[in-house]
Amino acid sequence: MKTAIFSILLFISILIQISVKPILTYWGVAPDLTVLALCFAAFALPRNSVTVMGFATGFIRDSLGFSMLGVGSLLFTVIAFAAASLLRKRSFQSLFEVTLYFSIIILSYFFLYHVFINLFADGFGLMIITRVLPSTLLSILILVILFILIPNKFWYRINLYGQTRY
Amino acid sequence: MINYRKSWTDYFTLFVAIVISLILIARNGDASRNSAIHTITLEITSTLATPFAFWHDILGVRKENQRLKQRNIQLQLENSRLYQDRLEKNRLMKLLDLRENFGFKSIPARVVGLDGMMGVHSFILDKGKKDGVKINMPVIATQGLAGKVIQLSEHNSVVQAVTDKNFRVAARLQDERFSGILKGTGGDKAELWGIPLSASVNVGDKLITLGMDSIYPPYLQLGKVLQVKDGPEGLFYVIKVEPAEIYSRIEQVLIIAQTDSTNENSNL
Repeated sequence: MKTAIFSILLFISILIQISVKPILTYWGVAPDLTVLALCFAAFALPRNSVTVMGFATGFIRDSLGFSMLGVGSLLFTVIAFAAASLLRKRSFQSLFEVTLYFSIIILSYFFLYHVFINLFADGFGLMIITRVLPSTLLSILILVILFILIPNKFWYRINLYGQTRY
Repeated sequence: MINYRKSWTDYFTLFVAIVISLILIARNGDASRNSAIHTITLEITSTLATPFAFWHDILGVRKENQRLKQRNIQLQLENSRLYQDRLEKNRLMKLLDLRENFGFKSIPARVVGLDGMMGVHSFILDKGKKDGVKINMPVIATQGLAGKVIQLSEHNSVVQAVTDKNFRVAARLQDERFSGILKGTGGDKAELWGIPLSASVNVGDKLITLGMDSIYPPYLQLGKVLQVKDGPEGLFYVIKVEPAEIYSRIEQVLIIAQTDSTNENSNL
């Protein structure tokens, strides 16, 4: 049941990402709602499911012109697996720790994304500063807004506060 | 305790996903297959994204509306400036025509202020003694005579308008050739005195300067007849005249420094 709910949530996040992104883009910097949704899924679902979801998400994003076919699925697979694995190592006691966890995942995602897409492009290093960091910060800002808006009860329900999943 | 079987399955899933991704990357050269995948996914996703696109449209409309409003203000300002430029160009062209037709030696000037005193119709020009302006020099605007210089400073001059109640000029009916005195009334009209009742005067007849005084050159437009009535003595008409120039609307003028005729006289 949870898998179905998070699959729908992920798909909706893709739809929002492709339709609302132009509004959320400032100076060429845009947050990524899909990776946020994937991180939330990592809290609630087994690593296996999260990995498959990551692959599927990446494949859909690829098909929508994200990049050449396969790059997005590889990137999202790795990120989903990493997000789920990181949660196996430790549990979080506060929203600050959760935010830190999200920051690491999102930063890794944007970094890998730029490595995959722009590795041989001119100004790659500058792009890390002008694109990767601001995009990460913007995504974290949205995450913080979500934490403020959605009541704590919901976060407990999706295991945000360190319940053991296995 | 960690479930190793489960852990093995996780790694296997990761491995399979990565292998499939790498195969997809390796086979990117097959454009027709990729195009088919892109088309199918795009079709499905764009259909499902329609409600979100509506949201996007709504939010986008607000942004677009703000941008268009800003642009509208900019264009309005630009339009207004261009309109003013065009009016100024027309006025200057007319003044240039007058100057060429009448052969004036003239000083172009710009109105920089109106005299604020009640009953006094005068305006201030940006040219004065230093520019060669002298007292009693006639001033013309695009439609005709605007007044004469009555005060001077180094860089400015004050012009008494045709409608000022102390203004007088020898005038002639353009068609009938009868002459009289045009007087300002202190309002927005002027009056023509001294036209005998024997003259045939009609509303709309044009008035020009007579040119027999020592101030104004002949044939300058003064205005047109607005109303004709008998005078108190029963000998002359009192004719209400609409001046050619409304002093408060004048922006550019020519101060007539010397006409060709006076120039020729001085050469003799």
